[in-house]
Amino acid sequence: MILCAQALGWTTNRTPIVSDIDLRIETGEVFCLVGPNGSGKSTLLLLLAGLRRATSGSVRLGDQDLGTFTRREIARRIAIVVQQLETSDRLTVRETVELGRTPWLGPISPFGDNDERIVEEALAKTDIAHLADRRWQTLSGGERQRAHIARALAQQAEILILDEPTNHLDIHHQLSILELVRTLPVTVIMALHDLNQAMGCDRIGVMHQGRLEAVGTPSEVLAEDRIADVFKVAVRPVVDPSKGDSFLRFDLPGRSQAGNRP
Amino acid sequence: MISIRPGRWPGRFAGVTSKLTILAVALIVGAAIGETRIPFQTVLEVLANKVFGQSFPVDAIDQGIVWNYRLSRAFVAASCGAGLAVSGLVLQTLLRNALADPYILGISAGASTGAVAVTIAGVGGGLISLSVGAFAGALVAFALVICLARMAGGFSAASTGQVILAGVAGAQLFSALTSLMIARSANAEQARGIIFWLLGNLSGVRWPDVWLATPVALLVFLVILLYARALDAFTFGSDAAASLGIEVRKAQAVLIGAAALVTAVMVSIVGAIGFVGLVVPHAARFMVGPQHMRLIPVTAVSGAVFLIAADIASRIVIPGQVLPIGVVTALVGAPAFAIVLVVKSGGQR
Repeated sequence: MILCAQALGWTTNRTPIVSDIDLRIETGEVFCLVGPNGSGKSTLLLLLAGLRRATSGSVRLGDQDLGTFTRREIARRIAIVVQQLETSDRLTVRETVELGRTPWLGPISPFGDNDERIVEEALAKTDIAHLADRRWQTLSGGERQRAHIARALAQQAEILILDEPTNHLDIHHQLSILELVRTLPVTVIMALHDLNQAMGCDRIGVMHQGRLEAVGTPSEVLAEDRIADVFKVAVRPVVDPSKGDSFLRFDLPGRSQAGNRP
Repeated sequence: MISIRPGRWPGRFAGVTSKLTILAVALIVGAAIGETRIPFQTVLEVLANKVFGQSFPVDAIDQGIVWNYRLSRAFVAASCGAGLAVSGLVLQTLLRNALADPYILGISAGASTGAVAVTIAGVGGGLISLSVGAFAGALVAFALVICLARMAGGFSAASTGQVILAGVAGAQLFSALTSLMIARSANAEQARGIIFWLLGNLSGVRWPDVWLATPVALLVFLVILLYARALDAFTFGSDAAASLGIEVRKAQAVLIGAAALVTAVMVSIVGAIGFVGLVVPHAARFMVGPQHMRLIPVTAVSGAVFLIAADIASRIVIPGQVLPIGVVTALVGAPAFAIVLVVKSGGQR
């Protein structure tokens, strides 16, 4: 299912947070948003998920305006994991993941075998089946993030939106979450801070001051002058001699890029 | 393997039956114990005579005490306990704050102010107009708390503490307004009656009160039960609830409206009873965990049993004297409140 933004904008307290976003996310692609803090990535993700109502332009899901869907209809098509979802309730990992079935269940319909199977699958895919009966407060940040992603998977949505899913995670869990989302049979839209991790996505959108500066494949978009302009850093591609692919190395502008690092 | 998970139909049937049994036993115990102790058999015989048209030979005075005084009183205590407890549960979940309850958020104080205003102004007269006054007061109080909290930083997860502070301020304001009205306008006899009633008082309760309290408690219970899944979805905040397909504003309006309605009606009948809405949901969570489909019924039954027990205690702790029930719930509730504070701050992460 194609998700489209047309001249999309969102303003709060007369301050435009995002404006003039034109974007088309194709079915099944892994799309990544990058940009400095405060560039509007999170707001754009909330708009695409229908959790904020556009103040200008529109979001279209398939051939319909997102505003014409009920919340429940959207929740069956788009799942989102925003940042820092916390609770003081002592619920278990399994209970957290079961929340993902909410859009598919009536107010009093009991949890069925099918729902249970879907929850088990989501737990297995995110590699947290062994944590199923652990309470939320006993989990590490990485385990909580994976539980949230499992909850989103249990929603069985075609589009998965993740806001900085690797935030606060150690490098192993960062890589395993990125590997997981790349292999899922759904459209993925996520915000990432690490430009090297973003290079593994199908397409990248660069956000800057609320606008989409560029959209394209990693090699098209992550040009040195654009990174220098948007992120205010000097960048240098370095080739990994063992694999032959390149990664980006950053320095503050004006500093010598080699030798005098502490 | 046959598993009877709560939430499946066989499990639900067993759950409903056991809860109804507990409730029935509590009501009968409430009718049996008091200044004069009446045997359970007599209570059952009175019930059989009155409800099923039997003709067991029962002492007329006993029959009068059981039917006219104690049973109606037990029914109102049960409805009130269930209503306030469920209302506290809803507020705790929606505000994501363990300390939310209609008493602390000033809803009870607002309802008292409204009811006292109606009493003193003498509008209409009778139970319904008192309830209308209490309901209006409850809504005004809650609207005030919400406005204050919004101005102080909105409803984000970080600022639910503001809601509690706003509630404390609101409760103080409404208590002051109530005192002002009593001091300015009520005659001595009115004033003593009102003050006794503000502490919570089941003494004057009769069957007409039951016909108001019990249907309202049942209705609110059923409405909130229909929103059990929605309440679960609020676990991680309102954005998360919306992303799970919940119409957040509608759910908040219905649930807060239901909580305000039940609080207002109960306060108008028995006065402001504190701590039930705060303590009982925590006890219920401790028993069955955080999922609302199980939590709501257990909270309701626990609240009902707790208030029936508190009412019995209020009648027998000091022989020959009936304490206001609010005194009993506060004596049990205040230490429980302290425990909640300590456990919540010490037990987090």
